[in-house]
Amino acid sequence: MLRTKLLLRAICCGLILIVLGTSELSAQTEIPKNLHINGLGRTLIQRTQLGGTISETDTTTASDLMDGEFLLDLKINATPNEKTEVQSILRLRNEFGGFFGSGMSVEVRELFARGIVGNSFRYHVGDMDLKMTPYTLFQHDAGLNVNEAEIFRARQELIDYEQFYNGDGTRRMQGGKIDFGLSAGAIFSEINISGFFTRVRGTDFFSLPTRFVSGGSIELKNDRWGSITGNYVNTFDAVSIGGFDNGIRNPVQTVSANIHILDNDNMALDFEGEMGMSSIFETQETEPFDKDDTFAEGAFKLDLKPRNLQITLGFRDVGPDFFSIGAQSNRVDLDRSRTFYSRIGNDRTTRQASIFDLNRDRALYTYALSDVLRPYDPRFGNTQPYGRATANRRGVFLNVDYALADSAIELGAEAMQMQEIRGQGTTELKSFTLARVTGDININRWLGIDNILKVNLGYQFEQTQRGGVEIETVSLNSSLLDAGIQAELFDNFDLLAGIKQLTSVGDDYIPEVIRFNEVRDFPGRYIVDDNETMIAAGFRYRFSSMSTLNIQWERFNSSRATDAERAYQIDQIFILYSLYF
Amino acid sequence: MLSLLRSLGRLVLLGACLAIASQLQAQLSTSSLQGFALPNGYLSPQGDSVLRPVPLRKLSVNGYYRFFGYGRNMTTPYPNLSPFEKTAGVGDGYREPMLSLFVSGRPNSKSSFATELFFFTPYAGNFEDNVFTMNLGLNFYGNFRTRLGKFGVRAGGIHWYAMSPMTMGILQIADRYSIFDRTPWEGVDGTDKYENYYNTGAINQDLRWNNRAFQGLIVEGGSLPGNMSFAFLYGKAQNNGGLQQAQTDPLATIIQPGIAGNIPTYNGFSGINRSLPSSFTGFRLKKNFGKNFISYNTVYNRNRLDSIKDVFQTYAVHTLEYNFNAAGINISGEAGAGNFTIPGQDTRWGETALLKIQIPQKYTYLPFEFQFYQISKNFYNDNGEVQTFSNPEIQNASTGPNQVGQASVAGALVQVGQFVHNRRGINLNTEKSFGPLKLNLGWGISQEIDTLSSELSYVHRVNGLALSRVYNPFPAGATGPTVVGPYNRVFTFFRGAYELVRLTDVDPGTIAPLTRKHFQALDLQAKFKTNLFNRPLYLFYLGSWMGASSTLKPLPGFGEDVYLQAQYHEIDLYYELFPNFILTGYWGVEYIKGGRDTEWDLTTQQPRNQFGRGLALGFDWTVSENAAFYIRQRFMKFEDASFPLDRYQGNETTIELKVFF
Amino acid sequence: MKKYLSLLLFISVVITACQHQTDPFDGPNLIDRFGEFQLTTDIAASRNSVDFSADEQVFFTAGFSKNINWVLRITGKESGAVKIIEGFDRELNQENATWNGTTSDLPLFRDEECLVELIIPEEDSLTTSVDITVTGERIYEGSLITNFEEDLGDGLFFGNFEFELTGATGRTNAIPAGQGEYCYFFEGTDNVVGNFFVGLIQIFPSVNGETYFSMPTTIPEESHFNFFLYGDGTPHTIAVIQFFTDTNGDGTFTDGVDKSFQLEGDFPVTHTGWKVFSHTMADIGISEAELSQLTAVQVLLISNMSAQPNPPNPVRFGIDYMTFTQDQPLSL
Repeated sequence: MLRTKLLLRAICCGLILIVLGTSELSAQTEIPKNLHINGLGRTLIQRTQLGGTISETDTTTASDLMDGEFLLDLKINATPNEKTEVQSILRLRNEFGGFFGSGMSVEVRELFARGIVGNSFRYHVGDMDLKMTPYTLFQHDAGLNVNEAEIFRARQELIDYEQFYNGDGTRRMQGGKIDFGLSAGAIFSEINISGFFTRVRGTDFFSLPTRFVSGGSIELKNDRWGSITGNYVNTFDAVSIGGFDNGIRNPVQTVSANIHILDNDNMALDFEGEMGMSSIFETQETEPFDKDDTFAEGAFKLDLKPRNLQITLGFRDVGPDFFSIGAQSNRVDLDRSRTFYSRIGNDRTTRQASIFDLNRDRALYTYALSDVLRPYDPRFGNTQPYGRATANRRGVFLNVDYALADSAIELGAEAMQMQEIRGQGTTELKSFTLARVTGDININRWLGIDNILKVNLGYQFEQTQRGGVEIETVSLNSSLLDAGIQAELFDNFDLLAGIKQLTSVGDDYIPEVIRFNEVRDFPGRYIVDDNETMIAAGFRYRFSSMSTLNIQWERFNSSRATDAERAYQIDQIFILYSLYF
Repeated sequence: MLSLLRSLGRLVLLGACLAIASQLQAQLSTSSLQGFALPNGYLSPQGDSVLRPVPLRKLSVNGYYRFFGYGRNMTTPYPNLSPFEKTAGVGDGYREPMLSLFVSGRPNSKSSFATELFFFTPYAGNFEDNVFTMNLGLNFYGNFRTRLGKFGVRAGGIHWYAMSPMTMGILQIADRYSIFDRTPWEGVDGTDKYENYYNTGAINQDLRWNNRAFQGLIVEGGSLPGNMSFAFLYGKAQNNGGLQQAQTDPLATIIQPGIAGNIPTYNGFSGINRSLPSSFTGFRLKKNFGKNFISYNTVYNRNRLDSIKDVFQTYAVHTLEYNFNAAGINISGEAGAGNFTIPGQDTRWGETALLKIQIPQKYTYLPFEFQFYQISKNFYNDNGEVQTFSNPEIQNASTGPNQVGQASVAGALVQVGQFVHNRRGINLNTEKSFGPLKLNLGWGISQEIDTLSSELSYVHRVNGLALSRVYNPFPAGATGPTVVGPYNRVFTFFRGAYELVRLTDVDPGTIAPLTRKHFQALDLQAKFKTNLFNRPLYLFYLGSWMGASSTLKPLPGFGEDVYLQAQYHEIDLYYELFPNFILTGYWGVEYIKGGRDTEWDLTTQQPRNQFGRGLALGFDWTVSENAAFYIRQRFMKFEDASFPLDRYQGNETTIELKVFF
Repeated sequence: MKKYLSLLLFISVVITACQHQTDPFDGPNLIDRFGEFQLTTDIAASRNSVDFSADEQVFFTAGFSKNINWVLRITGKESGAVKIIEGFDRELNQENATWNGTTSDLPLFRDEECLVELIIPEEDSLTTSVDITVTGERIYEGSLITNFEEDLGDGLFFGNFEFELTGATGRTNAIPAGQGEYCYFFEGTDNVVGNFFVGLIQIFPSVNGETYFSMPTTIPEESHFNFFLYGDGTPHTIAVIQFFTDTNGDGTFTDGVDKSFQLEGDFPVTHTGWKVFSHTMADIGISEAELSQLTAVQVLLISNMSAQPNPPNPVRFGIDYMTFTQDQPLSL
């Protein structure tokens, strides 16, 4: 805490010095070339009301919530010379309703330095966004939208920004990294080498040892036939710090390849694949946990260039005991309580996380690494709840992307057929079928008008099946519909509307996981007949590409045939002004 | 079998790695370190997919440093001040920054932001009490132009905003106040302050001076077809803000602290007010006719009283504001109605009407401004210019008999031009200059529409500011007003103090008043400027004579039908002794005399008979273009001849250093 | 060519990487966890009567429709002794349901009729039972000092110096013994001389016709002293057991001369029923030479007067089956 105060003080003094040093006591300060100031400004005012069946008898839950925030993230980026950069984000925040000093806070959101040594080595120290491969260090998305409507993206982007989700699978970490390259000769035109060392947990000198994540990769590139990369990442506890008896080790080593088989004016055929193995074990002497397993993935990518058609056909096999903390840590933690209406009803039972919460509640999200597989909700995704690195899956997948020449229509399709490799609670194996279609219809391009008139559609169907005797059988069908429209009524003034609907019927067993990925029990058969619908309408004005004002109304309905009395409805109106600069 | 395959897998992997290594080995002999030309954007801010890489090129930065120190010695204090009779410190007790850093930027032609950083240290010899936060909040602005007109958006807050006198605004009483004591937001402008005051009555003041604090969204439209403009507000005004029982430490809202990847959720920052959503909504539609205009204004304030049941306390105001000029005569004003709803009672409507007529000197020997007004007891708006504290029924239902920082209660004795509800009245203002002597006179009478008040109140103008510094009206965790004095009838508010007078001609059973009150006010201001030894000398006099009586009277006075009279006489003196060095002086007296039907002291059997004096000296020393020292030494004395315990005496020294940049 | 070789290499590696441990499945068997339970074969004993003293054993059989937690409770109809056997299986058989005469809760089984109950807790404690007869109780290892089944005669000295012991004190079968039919019972009140001491007995090797108590080993660290204590749950009772070694080498117990040893902290008796206590002789600080010449074991009834009300309440305990074992405490 004290350290934070001192840091704040230092940064604030820095800010003043920067300002005073360059202001010459004038109102308009020309910021020197080597000083970059970017940032984010946000005003959020939201009003949320609970209704529906449960409200008819609920005498313990507030029916109406209103809150909001005004915040400014000032990103101060200094480049004292062309090879050194220092950056900090200073967050100023004011809670809606806090007048004259109340509800205000100042925080340091980011701090790092990076640069280039001798025109050869890049280094980066402090906060950084790291990504390796989907099986080593990668943050897969929550997978809860299929070409989501524009109107729902405002809230999702807010969560993404708060949680440092950059949309490319990077994971925010703290430590140091270095990378450099070798220009080679005959076989490999380029060899790129990178390494990093980060700390994800400090010790409390009582029960938690310090935890580090380190890794690196060597990429061998050949201009003609592609590249092959060796990847290694290891999550480990430093038991010697604080004198602990037990710690974990989770090394994952893989080899990934991208091989250009064919490339001409009409078509290109590539092979992309990755395979490797993981180990997870504890250092304690009594009853140590020790598992290892392998995975492999390979896919052929065909690009029919004149037709704007890309087809990917692949195979994936991830062993039941494959465990990679950096790749399997979900960004959604369903165990966390909601920040609004977490408990409803006179019995104050916890409200199940819904598609509305996942679009609204930033507190459900994290980028923390977890050494136990986080719980998942099969309604949201059963085929790959932990992304491509989901263990105990084997199957094939097919992706097709197509676009008209003028991009008036852009279509996408994805199909996946997976099966468990090892049964859960039985020798019978679950099979998973996932089908997803998306489409963007840019009507204005058809009509030849400038103002945007766009319809986006997305539909996902997922089926989980397992045979066997009655106790063993599982059948769960879930579908997710995303649809929206964006109509630019006047220049930069959009009418937005959208719907998102999740339907889930059937049953499954959700494993209770302990110690990394060990299934301890199945609490009971998970029976669902749920329907969640979120509709929204609103306006958006785009002051610029980086500055928008959204005024939206949303209605969410949740009904569960298995618990009809707890059906509820949430209405929400929010005003969101976002200014990126 | 499986282990064999796994081993085979390992072998192949090992082989692959060895192949890579051998290739690497083979290459190294012929390879060289690959030089990096600086890739575009590599050294641009991180997270470019979110934050724009093209940085802000201009940043507007200004602010001020304000050191305010004081030393005080209350030789005859009110009871219970011990051990603080003698004290010295830094800061004037209110939340005012020592360093205010106003930062604003305009990332593009349509968007901008602004905030005011707040720094304060009590110079107490430690770090713990230092404060680094924001002063008022964060403001965001957006504007755009369409074929229909120009539009602007203000989001965040605090925004200082006004619409019309009856809906959203703060009264501007011409220039009838002493400028001897400086406000925290005043500028550094040498003699200009006094020169402007002498010439126009306006001095350099902060934006907040004549606006209301508002948080939320403001959408404005101008240059609309038909010379129309509008404004829409949705958010919170100060009265329905607040964050009771709120979490204040972002670090305390982190789930699983200590593990990377968990950031503040800010859950709980709203406190219980989150489930008691209260809001303020306003709308204004204005039609301009050249220099004239007419506008429809409305505000709606809703305070939710129960988190589960739909129990609200609301008020709404709908008015038409107008401003017409013809043949040099200006006719302006506002008329409308407001309602107030208390749980369990019907909505009550009340009228409000204000007419101002300004007649220029060419028609009469003197320029005149007539004000006629009538404001119902059921007209309530704590965001408007009208003081609406007089209806006990509303007052008790909304804020209690007296809220923290409230500037008066019940039947207030006010200066000419200050409107109070449940009154109808007339004001007259005029002015005349005789060479360097400028006089302006204000006269007003009014009466209660309904007989409501069994209490009167008046302001202690002479030493009120110093008294409010001794007894802070906003102590930490305040749940009620700060009550001062041995008789618990003096209340401090922001930079002032007022006193409550209980009337005795009331129904002994219900304590309900029996007679309708009539109020009189007379303000006389004289401003004189001359040169002494070729240096400007300013002499300002401000006198106010106010009263309340049970019968209609043209002037305050004496007699059995008089409840109360208050006289204030203040003289300010400013003389530039040397260039940029201005001697300042102040002398003020206030005399308050209670009538027969006000409370009496039990021993002397006499009603109020108060006499307050204030004598102050000091200087303004402008040491550079943007920096100045301000020293003030005040001697204050107050005594009530009828209430022997009601007396205080002391002196206060204040030192202010203000540096603008 | 290289690219195809690389592709081939990669694909071959991919294939080898697709072999995994697939057996057994993860987590508990779903059928066991959620399947319907049926008792397919009722409980049966492998024999109707068993002589544990002749190293005979008895096992029980039963069959279920799924793996489930089961409890086998064997109760001595005379002694009240209880033996519990638990498991999670589909059936009871010789591997998981064999009884060798041991006990889970004192007292020890006698020659008696026993009720054998099979309980399925997860099925509303479904219970089915069978009777068997114990014709010879189990013989435990170790060197017995006494189990009070016989009158100790001169081998026992009764010390009621302050006349605070009641008539209930002595060898008795008025309460169910910890082993066999008899135990020794103390009862008294420290109300004559308020010195904590109530009364004592001394047991000499002569009860077994010996000069010194014999034991499996005289190495203090390997020699375990075991005994059963009976309490009725009343507070303030403390049992003290002292060992005397032949300091003067006269082969007999000489009071005031022979050196005594006792476990620090003694034995507060707050429990109800019989409970087994054990400690090594090294715990009382005795040497191997001294241990080889034990001339007396003294058992005292102490009243914890520092906690007693005034007047003090009576205190009492029973003692039975005092024995030495080697290397490990007495295993029931």
